[in-house]
Amino acid sequence: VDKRPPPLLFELEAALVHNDAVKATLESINQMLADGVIRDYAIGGAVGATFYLAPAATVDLDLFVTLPEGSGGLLISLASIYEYLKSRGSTEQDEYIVVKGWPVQFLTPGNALQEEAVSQATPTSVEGIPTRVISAEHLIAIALETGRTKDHIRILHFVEQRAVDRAKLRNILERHGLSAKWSQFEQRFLRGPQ
Amino acid sequence: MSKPKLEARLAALSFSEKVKILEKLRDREKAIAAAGLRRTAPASAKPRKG
Repeated sequence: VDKRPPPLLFELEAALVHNDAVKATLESINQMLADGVIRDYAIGGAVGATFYLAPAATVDLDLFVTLPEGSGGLLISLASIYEYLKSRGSTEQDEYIVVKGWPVQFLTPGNALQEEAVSQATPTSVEGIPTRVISAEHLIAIALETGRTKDHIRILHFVEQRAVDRAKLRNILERHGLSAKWSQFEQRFLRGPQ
Repeated sequence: MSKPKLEARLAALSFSEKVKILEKLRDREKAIAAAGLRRTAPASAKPRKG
């Protein structure tokens, strides 16, 4: 039995080392792309937002994926993603699949906004591994559409850190029928009490 | 350093550098959840009076 007292925070932090897990995860996803299991992908969620903002803690990697033509429906294709990854050592954990140490949530675009977000994602790289990240304005529009408290907080971070092209955002919101929702958000969170 | 300045400096890092920070933040939360934390140093680590 380990009778040592639990660590202090600084003792714990001192023991942490960078582990390259996201790099390894993206290598696996890129191989899946090369093998034709998915047609395209883009990073969304908190990790995607980190491309534009100061990093904030998150437990998972949200990947929006598009599927190959004639892949036999959404459920079959998600099953093929899981089978592919599990045959290479990944494990299921709740709504995630753990790929090289990071829980990944695969999301298929559910509407035109999300499809556009994947198709117009920004190419970048993580330690030399090529990848794509959803644009700041599409991340904001998707967060607005989803509308949970944590989505509203993320939008506020984009606004506060001036990491948004207002004209581009307005264009996206208008084309996808989200202008009224944005006005409500502005009224509630950005203008304060009248 | 003020919070806005710190955020601006962190936001200006490369994506690779930010991902390293994300990994550490995540490992930190996992380690805290697994080990728990104590609020003070053990008595043996405190300087003795006299």
